[in-house]
Amino acid sequence: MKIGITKFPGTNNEQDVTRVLNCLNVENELLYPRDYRKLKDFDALILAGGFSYGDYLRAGVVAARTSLIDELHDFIISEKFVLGICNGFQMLCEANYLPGVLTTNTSTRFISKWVNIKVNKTNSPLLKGLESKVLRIPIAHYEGNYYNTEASIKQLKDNSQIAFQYCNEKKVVESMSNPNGSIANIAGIVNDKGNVLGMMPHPERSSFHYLGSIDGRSIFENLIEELKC
Amino acid sequence: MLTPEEYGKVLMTIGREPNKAELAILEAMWSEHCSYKSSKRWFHLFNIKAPYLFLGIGEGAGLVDIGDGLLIGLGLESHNHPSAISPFDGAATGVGGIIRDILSQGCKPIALLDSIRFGDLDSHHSRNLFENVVRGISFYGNCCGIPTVGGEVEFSTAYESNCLVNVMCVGLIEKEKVVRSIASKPGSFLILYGARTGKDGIHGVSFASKDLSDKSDKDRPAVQIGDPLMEKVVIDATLELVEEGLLDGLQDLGGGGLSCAVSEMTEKGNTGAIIRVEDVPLREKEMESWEILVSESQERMLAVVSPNNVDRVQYILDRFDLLHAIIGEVTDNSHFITYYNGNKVSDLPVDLVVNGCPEPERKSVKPDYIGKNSKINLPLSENISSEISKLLTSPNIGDKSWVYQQYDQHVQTQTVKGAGSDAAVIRLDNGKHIALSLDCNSFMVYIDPFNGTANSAAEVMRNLITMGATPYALVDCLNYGNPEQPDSYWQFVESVKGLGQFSHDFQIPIIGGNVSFYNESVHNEKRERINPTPTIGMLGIIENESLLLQNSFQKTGNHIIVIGSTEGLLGGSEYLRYNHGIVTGPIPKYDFKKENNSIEAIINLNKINLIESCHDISNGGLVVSSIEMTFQNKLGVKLTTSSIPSKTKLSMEEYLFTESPARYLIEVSSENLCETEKVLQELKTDYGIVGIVTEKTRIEINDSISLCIQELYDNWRNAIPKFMEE
Repeated sequence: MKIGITKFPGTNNEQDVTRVLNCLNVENELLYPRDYRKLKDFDALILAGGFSYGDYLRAGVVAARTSLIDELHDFIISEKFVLGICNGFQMLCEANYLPGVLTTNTSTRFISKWVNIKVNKTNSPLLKGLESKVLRIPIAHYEGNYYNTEASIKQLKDNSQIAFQYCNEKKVVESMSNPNGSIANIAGIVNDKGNVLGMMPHPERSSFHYLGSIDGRSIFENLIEELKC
Repeated sequence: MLTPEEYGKVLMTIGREPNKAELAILEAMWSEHCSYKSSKRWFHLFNIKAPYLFLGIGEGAGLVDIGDGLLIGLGLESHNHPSAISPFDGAATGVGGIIRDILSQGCKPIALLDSIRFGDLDSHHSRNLFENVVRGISFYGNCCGIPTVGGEVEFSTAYESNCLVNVMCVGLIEKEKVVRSIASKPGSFLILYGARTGKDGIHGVSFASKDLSDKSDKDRPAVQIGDPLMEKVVIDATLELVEEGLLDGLQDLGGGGLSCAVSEMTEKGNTGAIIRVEDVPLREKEMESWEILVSESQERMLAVVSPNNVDRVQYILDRFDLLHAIIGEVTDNSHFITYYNGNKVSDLPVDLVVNGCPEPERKSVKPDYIGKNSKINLPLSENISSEISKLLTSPNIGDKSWVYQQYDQHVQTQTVKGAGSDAAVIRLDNGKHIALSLDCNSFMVYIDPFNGTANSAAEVMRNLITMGATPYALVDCLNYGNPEQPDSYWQFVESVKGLGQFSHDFQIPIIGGNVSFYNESVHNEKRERINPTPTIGMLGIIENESLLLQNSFQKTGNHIIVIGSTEGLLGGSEYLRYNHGIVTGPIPKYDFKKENNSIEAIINLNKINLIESCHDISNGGLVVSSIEMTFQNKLGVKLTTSSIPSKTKLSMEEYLFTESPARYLIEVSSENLCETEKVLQELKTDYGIVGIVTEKTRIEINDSISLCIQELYDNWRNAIPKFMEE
């Protein structure tokens, strides 16, 4: 079992994801965009966050046009797991592997802080056992404001694809707890098959006690558990 | 422009008129910014020694050995002038510059801290600078993947026309992998890699070495433009080159550009160099040789590489898609020589370029305002409750999360305590923790530069102590006015003396720093000068996790103890300045023995786990410190001023608002109270049990004051957003 972690020029979270996977004793390797042919060697892929290509044109948009992300099409069709974190989520949306777009925060400023997110019931094994829990987890983004049409949001709801919603400590999803203006407080979604998960918060930054929370670790544990099956 | 004296020195040394390129090189290297010609004569006052010192002042980063084969690198630099003209780009490239300084020693950058100062927030100009400086830092630092974990923000009319942007970067490296900024072997190649060289930042150091004025806007081309993606790739590639041990020397291209990097590295190695200017990759056509030599385009590094490593270095740089070029070689003739297509452009002795600048005479005269510190006639107010309420609305005291939430604090997943704590705490993989603080109390320094600076340094140290750390090393960024003005120079000299005294007293080595003069300007024929601002960045070590302290009250019923006796002097306090508009009055004198005794007390109590929480008493005095401690866990506090330790009986305003040094608030449980007192008595520490933590979320003082914490919190929380959020 081997998990790939993407490293694009300008991304900066791949070492943090590596740290978690090493701690969970699972084989992992960085995958650079020019090595896209190696993609088939991996059982799952994590798109780590950061600022791929500086996010200069728009967050994730340049990375989404690379051969590596193109190759992801078949990888996803074959129902292998893909987890996109922050910039990784932005890439997945830009490449249309997940619906919707991530646009500039309503504050028009970068936001780095701890938030609470509620886990909804989905068909994704990556969220097994987490349903209706509240995770305390950091966000750090400039373009994390999830947007989609009303019809699409309804469809996401009906299909149980809304994985995470920003909420308060008491699990109430309300506007005061929405850090960036996302529609329906959406912090993360899954695709219809449940094998692709995109999320703005950083589970790797809440995977160690010394960081103040290990709420994010279960997502990686679920992934590893599924790969063992 | 060289002075006549400097020009004479050049003529005498090289025996001919210097040409245009040579003049450009000398002008850059002999600028105040690069040569330290007004300041370095005083550096002998600093303590620069410690048994664990690995590399002191003089290169990109100072390095200290923290055991387990690891070194921590520290650097601190100003980018004041560029930020005043172009706040976004100026601040962004300030971050970029100090990161590359740390990288020059091969260190992996692991943390950033920023100290920023502006005019009052009711000024549109200051709000604009503040907004865009923070955006610039956020834009650049976040993209580079380095957590910004702390710093300070201060507002005062003294910075209305001259804002300050000081950035500190912290790095980590294994001892045997360290790279020096030295070119010691003739025959080595000089490889320039990173961004292309353009016309931006030409004469940036000269621009930074004169006063700002109404006409400074025309100097905008002297401000560089940052490309953080390029920086990130340069960092990634450099760390790989360092990991493989391929570099014999490395320096970033900062102030003075290529000329500075080549001449400084060859000077340290007792070598010389030839540079082929036509091989420097350019961003724009039609650059003259002299422009290429002094351009301060960002994101460029110059590596010294032995011939047998050149292929591997080029291979790695190619893999990162980084532009690189062999632009010259190290020679043994002690001259820095440049050619363009075979024609000699410049030829100067390295020693002349780096060490030749004659030290100008500088007069130091005590300013008129010093000593005129009139006595403050107390009471200034009878309504202490409303004074407390008002003080919490001061942007200098209020919550800074509006700022630091724009900075990525958690990348690299090692931030144990981020901004908002007394000091940042970063975990290292060997289980140790480091604590970091960056601070200055410019009002005390203004009133009394010697004592103010020493007290200010002690305050930075207190920030580390309250996290459970032991102070280890410091870097400084000395921001002053025009050194050619005798009263301004006096402020600088006194301040340096104070810092020197502090560093010797506490045996904390000064391992790096930067001097920024000319932070004054003439607007509408009125001269404005910043408060003298010696920003100090300090590193502390937390040997094991159990020593890590909380800064907030933990439990109802616990006792609150003030450590260190209180002096009534209100000079330099935020209470006088913000509530009453007074920046005068005597400040408490720096007192090593007292300061050290308080530190001993905290360290000893912490060693045997007697402290539940700890916070230093600084900005806003005892009352603000105790209110701040209630916020996190939504508790209250009850205080009795008569129990506050002091030599003489003080007035209510003095007890509550003085920022007299060497004091801490600690929280102790009932069961530990007895033992705590025993330790304090053995150490002969001045202390007083001044109150208890309460469940009721109010602050009650004696029987006369009772204020709702939630209302104070709202004042504190909105102090900055109320100006910045429309």
